[in-house]
Amino acid sequence: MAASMLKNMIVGQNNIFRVIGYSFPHKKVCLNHYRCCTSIVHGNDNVRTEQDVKPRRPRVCRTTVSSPAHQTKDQIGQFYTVPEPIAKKVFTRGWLNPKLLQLFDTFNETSIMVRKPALEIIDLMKSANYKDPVIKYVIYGPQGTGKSTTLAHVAHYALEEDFMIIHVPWPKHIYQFPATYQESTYKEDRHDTLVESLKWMNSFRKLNQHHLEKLKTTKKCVWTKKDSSLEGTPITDLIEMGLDREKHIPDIVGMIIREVKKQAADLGLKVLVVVDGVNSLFQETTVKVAPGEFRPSSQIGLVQHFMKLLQNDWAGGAVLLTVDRNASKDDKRESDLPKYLLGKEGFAVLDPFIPFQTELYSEEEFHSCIEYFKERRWLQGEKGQTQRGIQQIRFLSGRNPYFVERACSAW
Amino acid sequence: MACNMRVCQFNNIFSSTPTLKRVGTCVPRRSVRTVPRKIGIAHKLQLKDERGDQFKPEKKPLLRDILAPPVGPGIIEETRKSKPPLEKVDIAKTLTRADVIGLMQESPTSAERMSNDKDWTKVWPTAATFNWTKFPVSVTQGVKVMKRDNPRMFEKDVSLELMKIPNFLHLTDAHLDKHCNALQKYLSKWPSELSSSLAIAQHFPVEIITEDYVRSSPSIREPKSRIVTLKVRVGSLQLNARARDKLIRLAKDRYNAKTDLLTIVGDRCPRRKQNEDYVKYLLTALYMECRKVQEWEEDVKEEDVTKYRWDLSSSRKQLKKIKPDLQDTAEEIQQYKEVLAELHETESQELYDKYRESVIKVLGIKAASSGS
Repeated sequence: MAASMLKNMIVGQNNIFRVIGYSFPHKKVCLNHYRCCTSIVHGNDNVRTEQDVKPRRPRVCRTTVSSPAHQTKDQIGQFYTVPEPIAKKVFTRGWLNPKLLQLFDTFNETSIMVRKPALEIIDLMKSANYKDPVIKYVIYGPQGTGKSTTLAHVAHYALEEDFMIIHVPWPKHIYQFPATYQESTYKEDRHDTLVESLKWMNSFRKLNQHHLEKLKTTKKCVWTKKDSSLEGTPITDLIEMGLDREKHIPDIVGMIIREVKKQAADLGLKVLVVVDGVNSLFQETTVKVAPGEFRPSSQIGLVQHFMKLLQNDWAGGAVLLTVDRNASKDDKRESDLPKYLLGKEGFAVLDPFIPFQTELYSEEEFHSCIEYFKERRWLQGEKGQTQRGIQQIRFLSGRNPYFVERACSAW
Repeated sequence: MACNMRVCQFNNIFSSTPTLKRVGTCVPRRSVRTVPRKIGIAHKLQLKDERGDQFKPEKKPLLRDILAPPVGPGIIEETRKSKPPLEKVDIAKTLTRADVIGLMQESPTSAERMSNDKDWTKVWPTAATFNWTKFPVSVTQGVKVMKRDNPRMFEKDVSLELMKIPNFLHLTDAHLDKHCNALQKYLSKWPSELSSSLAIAQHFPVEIITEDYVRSSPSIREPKSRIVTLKVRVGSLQLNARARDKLIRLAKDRYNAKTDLLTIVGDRCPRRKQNEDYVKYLLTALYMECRKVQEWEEDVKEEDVTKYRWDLSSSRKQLKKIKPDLQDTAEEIQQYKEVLAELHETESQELYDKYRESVIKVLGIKAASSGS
C-alpha cells in the first residue's frame, strides 16, 4: 500500500530527495546520502560533459560465468546469477540485508556484481596452503558498498569448493538484548545466551550437515554428575543432545569449535569462518551482572568461542571478516577504517590480517548496474533512461551501490 | 563681535605676566586651557593703557575683586573711595583689529615647533611627568561616560589622566642606544662561538630564569622575585631511551613533548638563592634516578610503553607463532614493523594498502593469478 502511494507521489525528478528520505526514515542514512551527494558536488568529478559519462567499452551487464572460481578480471562490473541451491544457503537472511533479498525476490533471480575485493580474496584463497595457520581477510568500506555481498560472493566460492562454513551473522545479536541469559555451568565469570545459541546452532547444522558427520570428539565431557559423553562421540550426536537440553548448547558450540580447530588440518577439512561486523566482538553487552554493571562481550560464552576462531593457532581454514561502523557503538562511528572500529585491543587480536576495501562503483560498474536495472525494469521511466536522467542518478547516488538502487527505484 | 568680547587682565598664578583671556559666547576652542601659553605676548605688542603709559601689570586689580566685588552700600562707597573703580582698559582702542585676532591665536608650543629630526633624548632626557607642550603626538586618555561629556576632555592638553600614569618616554630606542654606547667601554666582547641560538643551547643547555621587580611602594621587596625557573632540553641530557622515558614519566606535566623542554619551578624557599640551589638539586636527583635501573623495569609490557613498540607487542608474538623461523632483522619484518608503527599513529586507506602488501610479504602468500 505504502509502496503504491509512494509511486504516485513521484512525479518528477525533483521528488527524488523526498523519495529517498521516505525510504530511509533513519536520519543517519539520509545524512550519509546527503554527504555522498555533496561530496560529488564539490569534487572534481562533477565537472563532466555528457560525452565523458559515456562508457568506454560496450556495455555487457551480465556474465555467464556463474562459478566464482572461474571469474577473472574481465568479469569485473558484470552481474552473474547465483545458482538456486547455493542462493538458498548463502544469499539468505543473516547473510545479506533484507532489503537486498527483497530486491532478489522482485527481480526473480539472485544476481550480484562481480567486484574486485571478492575476486582478490578468492584468488588468495585458491593459492593458500591449508596446512599453514589461517589467514585473516578483513573487508572494510563505507555503508552500502557491498561488504556483506562480498562475503556472500566468497561464501559461494567456498561452498563450491566444499568448505565447511562457520558463519556468525551479526555478533551483536548474540549479546545485545538477548531473550534469556544465564550464568555458565561450565565456567565462572561467563554468561550464556541460550536462544541465540540455539538459533546459531540450527543454522550452522543446516549449512554443514555432511561435514559434521566426519567430526568426533577427542575429549571426554562431563555434563552433569551422571551424564557425560565419552571420547569419540560423533558431533552430530552431541548436537542432538544439545537440542534436547538447551542449557548445554553454548558449551557444545565451544566443543564443536575446539574440535574443528584441532582436526581441520588432519582431516583435510577446509573451513571458512565468516563474521560480519567483527568489531562488535569487542564491546560491552546488555547482560547485567549487578545493578549498573554489565558483562563485556568477552565474557559471553558464544563470543568467547568465536574469538577462538580468530586466533591463528589453527590450520586448515580461512577467516573472512568485515568491520562495519553500524556494528560499533553509537559514539564510535566516525570512520570506516579497521583500526578505529576495532580499537587497539581488537586490532591486536586480528593482526596480521589482509585488508580489503569495498569502494563506490567505478564509472564502468555504474553503467553496467544501470543497464542491469533497465533490463530488470527496475529503472523504467522514460526520463530515467535518458543520458540526463542517468547523470542525475549518478549525481544523487554518488555512485554508492546502495543508493544507485534507491535512486533508480524512484525513476 | 566687539560686544561679545571682553578683554580682561588678571594675575595668573603661574606667572606674573598678564594673560589676555577672551570671555564671551564665541570662545575659540583652544582658549579653554588654563595653563599660560607663552610668556610675553603683551610685552612684544607694546600694550599701552588709556593714558598712553606703558602697560604695567602690578597696578591691575586682583581677579577676585573683579569677579566678586564687596557687597553692601557702605562698603561699596568705602572701596570706591579707597580704590578708584576699575577702569576698563579698552585695548580695542589702542590695538587694531588684526592685532586682536593675532592675540587670540596661539603662539605655537614647542611640540608644534618641533622638527622631524629633533633629537628626542634632548627633549625628554629623564623620567618626567607627561608634558603636553613637549610631546608632539596627539594622545588621549579617559573614557567618555556621559553623553554630554565634552569629547575634547581626553585630549592631551586637557586630560589630567595622562599626567597621573607613569610614562616611558625617557626609555625610547634612542635613549637606550645612548645608554648602551655609554656603557660599552665597560663591556667585554661577545664570544664568537656563541653566534647562534643553537650554539648557545648546545653550550649552555640549562637556562635559569628569575625576575626582578622595581617598585615605588614602602617595601622594595617583591615576593615573586624569589621564584626560580629552570629549563633544560631533555635531548641535551645524556640519556638512553629507557632513562629518557623514565624521566618523562617522573617529570609528568613539567615536560613539554612539543619543545622537548623540562621546566622545573622552585618557589618554596624564601630566598632566591635557596630556590636556585633547590632547583639544581632537583635536576640532579631526577637525572640520577633516571639512570638507575630498578629490578621491576626489566619486565616492561606493551601497555606500559607510551609509544607503540613492535618488539613488545602482541603482534610480534602472533607472528612468531605463524613464522617461527623468521628473524626480526629480516627485510619483510622491518617493513611490516614500520607500517604498523605508522598505523598506530594515523590511519588512512593508503596506509592499509601498504599494510596489506607488507602482510602478504611477511606471510609469504602468492596469488594464484598474477593479474589481480
